Amino acid sequence: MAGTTHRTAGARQGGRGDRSDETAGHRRLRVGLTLCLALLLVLTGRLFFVQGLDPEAIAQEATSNRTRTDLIAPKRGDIIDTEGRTLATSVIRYDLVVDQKWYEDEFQRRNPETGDREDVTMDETIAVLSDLLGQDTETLTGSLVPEDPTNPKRYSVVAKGVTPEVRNAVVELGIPGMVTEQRSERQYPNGSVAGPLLGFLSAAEQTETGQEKGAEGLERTQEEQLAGTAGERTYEVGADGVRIPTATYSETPAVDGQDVKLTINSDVQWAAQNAVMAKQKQFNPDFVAAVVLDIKTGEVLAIADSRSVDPNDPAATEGEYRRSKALLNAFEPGSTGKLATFAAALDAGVVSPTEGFEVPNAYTTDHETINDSLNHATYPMTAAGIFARSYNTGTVMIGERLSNEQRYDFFKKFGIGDTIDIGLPVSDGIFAEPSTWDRRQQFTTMFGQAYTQTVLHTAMQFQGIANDGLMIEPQLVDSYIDADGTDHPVAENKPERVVSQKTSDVMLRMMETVVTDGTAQGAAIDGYRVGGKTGTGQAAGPSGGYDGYTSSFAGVAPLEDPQYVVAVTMHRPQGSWRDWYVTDTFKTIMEQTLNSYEVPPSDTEPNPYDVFVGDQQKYSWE
Amino acid sequence: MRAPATIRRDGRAPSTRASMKSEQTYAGSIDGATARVLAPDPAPRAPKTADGAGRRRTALSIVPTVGKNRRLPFLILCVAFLVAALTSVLLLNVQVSSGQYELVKLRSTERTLTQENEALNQKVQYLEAPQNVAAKAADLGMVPSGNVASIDVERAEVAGVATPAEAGNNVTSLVNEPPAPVEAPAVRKPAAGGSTAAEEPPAEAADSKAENQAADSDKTGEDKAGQDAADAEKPATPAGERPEFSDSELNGGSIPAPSLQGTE
Repeated sequence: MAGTTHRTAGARQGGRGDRSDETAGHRRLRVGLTLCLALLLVLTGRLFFVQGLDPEAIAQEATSNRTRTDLIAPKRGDIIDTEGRTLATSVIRYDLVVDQKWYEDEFQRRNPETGDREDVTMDETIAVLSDLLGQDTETLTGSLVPEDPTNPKRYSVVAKGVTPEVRNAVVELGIPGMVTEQRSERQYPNGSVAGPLLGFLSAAEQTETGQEKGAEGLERTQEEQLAGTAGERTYEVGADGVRIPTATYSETPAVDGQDVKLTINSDVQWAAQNAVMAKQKQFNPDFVAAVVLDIKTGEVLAIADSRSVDPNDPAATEGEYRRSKALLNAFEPGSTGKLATFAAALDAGVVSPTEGFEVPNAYTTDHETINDSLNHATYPMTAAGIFARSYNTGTVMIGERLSNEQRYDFFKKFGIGDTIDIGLPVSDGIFAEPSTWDRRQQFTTMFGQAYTQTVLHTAMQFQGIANDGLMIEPQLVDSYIDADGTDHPVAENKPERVVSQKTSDVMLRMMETVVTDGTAQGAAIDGYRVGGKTGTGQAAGPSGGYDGYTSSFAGVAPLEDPQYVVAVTMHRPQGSWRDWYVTDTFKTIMEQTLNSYEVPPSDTEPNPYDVFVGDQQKYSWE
Repeated sequence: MRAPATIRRDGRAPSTRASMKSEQTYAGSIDGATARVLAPDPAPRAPKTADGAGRRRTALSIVPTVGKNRRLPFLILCVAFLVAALTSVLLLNVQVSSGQYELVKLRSTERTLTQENEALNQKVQYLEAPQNVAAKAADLGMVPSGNVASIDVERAEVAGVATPAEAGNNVTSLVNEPPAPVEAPAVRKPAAGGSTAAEEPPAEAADSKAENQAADSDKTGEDKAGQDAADAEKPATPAGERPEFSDSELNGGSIPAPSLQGTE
C-alpha cells in the first residue's frame, strides 16, 4: 500500500526521483515479503516439528507440563486399649515461622473485631504474643526482629507445635512475614502407661507425605496398618500457576490408617506399673517387670516395666529402657521353672502329688551334688511339699525319673526357647538341645537354671496349666478398626494341650499349697484362693559366671476357676537374697485385676496337699 | 449488514451481468480512487434494442427492503435471548460464588468444630489417664476398698467376708503424670461471629453461672453491683460442686440438654 501511495506521489511530481522511489518501494516490498516467507517457513518447520514428528509425545509433555499432582496425607490411626480408651492419637499442631525480611517497627493490620485497619507497633504485638505463646519478650524479640537489618533471617522459627487456637490468635495479630506450617503431632494421653509397648515415632523416617514413621514398639510394628494410604489430587495449572478451573481434576481420597485395638486394659496396666515401680524403689534392681494374662483367652492385659518410657518424650529415658524389659530380657527363671518339671513328671504318671520322699539338704546323683539354698535337715516330704517348699534336691529326685529327651520334649511343648508372636519383638530365650547338655545341666534345667526365658513365657506356662492344660499363645492386638468403624478382629490363637485336665487340677492344688504352706505365703489374697510358684534364679553376668539373682513369682486366681495369671520378676536386686520378695507386687496387681473385672470372691475353702508325710506338718525352714 | 437499497441498472445483456456484478455492488459503496474504478469499463455495451431505447436509463429508484418489518420481532427476540442468557449466566455465577462463600464458611466452621472437638477430647483423655484418676481419688481422700463379698442369689449364700476400707491406706501413683494438654490462650477471642468463637467449656460454665447468679440476685433484690462483680470474679465451677442451671435450661429435667455449639 505504502509503495502505491509513493508511486502516485512520485507520478504527480514527475521528477527524476520517480524511478529510484519505485526501486526503493519494490525493495521494501521484497524484503517484507521475504521476511514474511521466512517467518512462514519457520512456522511451517515448527508445525512440522510439532505435528509431524512424534506429536503424541509432545502433546503429552504439554499436558504433563501443566498437570500438578499433590499427595493427600492420610490420618494416622489411633492405638486404643481394650475398653476403647485412647493410648496414642494424632493431633494437628502448627509451627510458627517468620520471614524477617518483612519486618517493620510499625505495621498495619485489620482489627478482627471492627474490621477497620489499624496501626500497631511491633513492641505491642510482642507483648501480646508473649502471653499467647508463654515465651518471654526477649526470646520473641530475638526470633522476630532481625539482628542485622541488612541480612535478615528468612526462616526464623518462633514457636513449635502450638494448638490451632493459639495459631488462630497469632494469625490475627497480622505480623508481617509470619507463616504457619501445619503438621501432625503424635500424643500419648496416658504418658508412660504402656509406653514401652506403644513405642514412638521418629522424624528420621518419613512417609511420602512427610509424616513421621514409627521408630519403636507397636508404632513401628503396626506401621502398615496405622499409616494408611496417601491420596492423590491431580489438576492442571496455567502458566501463572493458577489452577485452570475447567480443566480435568481428579482426586483419589486418602485412606486413613486403621486404629489398633489392644487387649491391654489401661487400669490394670497402670496398677501393674505402679506396683513394679514401688518394688523398684524398694530393692533398686535393674528392673522389675510384670505380665498379666487372661487365662481363658490368652489375652495380655498388662505388660509392666518399672522404668517405662514416656512416648511423649522418649529422649528423657535411657535408651536401654525405651523397650519393654518384660519382653526382651530373657533370664534364668529359677524355681518358677520347677512348674515344667513337675507338670512333665505328673503328666507322664511317674509321680503322684502325695508320694513320699526323704528330702536331704544335699543330694548327689551322677557325681553332681545338688544343694538347697536353705540348710535344712532331711525331711519326709510329699511331692507337693517339695514343690511348696521349692527344694532343688527333691525336684531332681522326681525329675530324674524322666529321661533328658522326655523332659526336653515336654519343655519345648511348654514354649521354652520358643518364639512368641504378640506383634512386638519378644526374646525367644535360650534352651539348648539335650545332646549338648553337660552333666550338671541335665539337673539344673529341672529347677529353672541353664536356660532362659522371658517373664511373658513364664506367664504363658502358668496360663496353660491353669486353663485345664490348654496353653494359648499370648495375644496383644485385639483388632484393627477401619476409619469407618469396620472391625477386623485378629484371629484368636488356638489353644494347645500341654498337660491333661487331671495334671492341671493336681498342679493347681500344688500351687495352692505353695501359697498356704510354702514359700509364697505373702501372695495370699483375702477372700480369693490363690496358687503360684516363687523363684529365685541365679543371673549370669557378662563374664559367664553367676553374679546376681532374679526373684520371681507367678500365680493364678481364683483357684476354683482360674481367670487371671500375674507373673512378676525382679532382676538383679540389691541386698541379700533372703530379703527379696515380689509376692506383695503380685498381690497388688492381682487384687486390682480381680477388682477391675469384678470377679466374685471364692466360695470354696482352700484345698492344699500335705507338705510332709505323716501327722507332723510343721518343720522349720532351716 | 445490507445496504438499505440496491441500485438496479437495466438494459444490460444478461450474459454480462456476472462481470458487471462487482462494479454494481461496489458502485454505491466505494469512495475514492481505486484501480478498478479508474480502469475503463471493459464490459461491452449492450446491443441496441430494436426500438432504439437501449441507451435510455431507467430512473434509479429505491427498492423497499423486503420484510423489514418482519425482522424487527426477530431482532427483539435475539436481544431478549441475549439478555436472558446473560442474566442467567450472571445469576448462575452469583449462585455459584455465593455457594462457594457458603462452602468456605461451612468448611471453616467444620474445621473450628473439629479442632474444638479435638481439644475437648484431649482434655477428656488427659483426665481419664489412670494415674490422673488415681491422683484425683487420693486428693479426694479415697482409699482402696476393703475385702468384698458377693451374694449368690440362687443358693442364697454370701461368699467372702466384706471388710470396711481402711483410712490412710492411700494409693500414691508413682507413674508420672502425662503432659497436660495446652489450654486455650486467655487472650482476646476471635471475631464475634458466633460460629468461629472457640470457647472453652469451663469458661462457658463460668459465664452461665455468673449470669444465673446475677439473675438470682436481681430477682431477690439483694445487694446489686458489688455482688455481681464478686460473682463475675469467682472462678469456674469448683471441682465436685454442682453447677447451677436456670429453669429454662433444665426444662423440667435434672441436667440441661446438650446444645450444639457453633450453629447460628
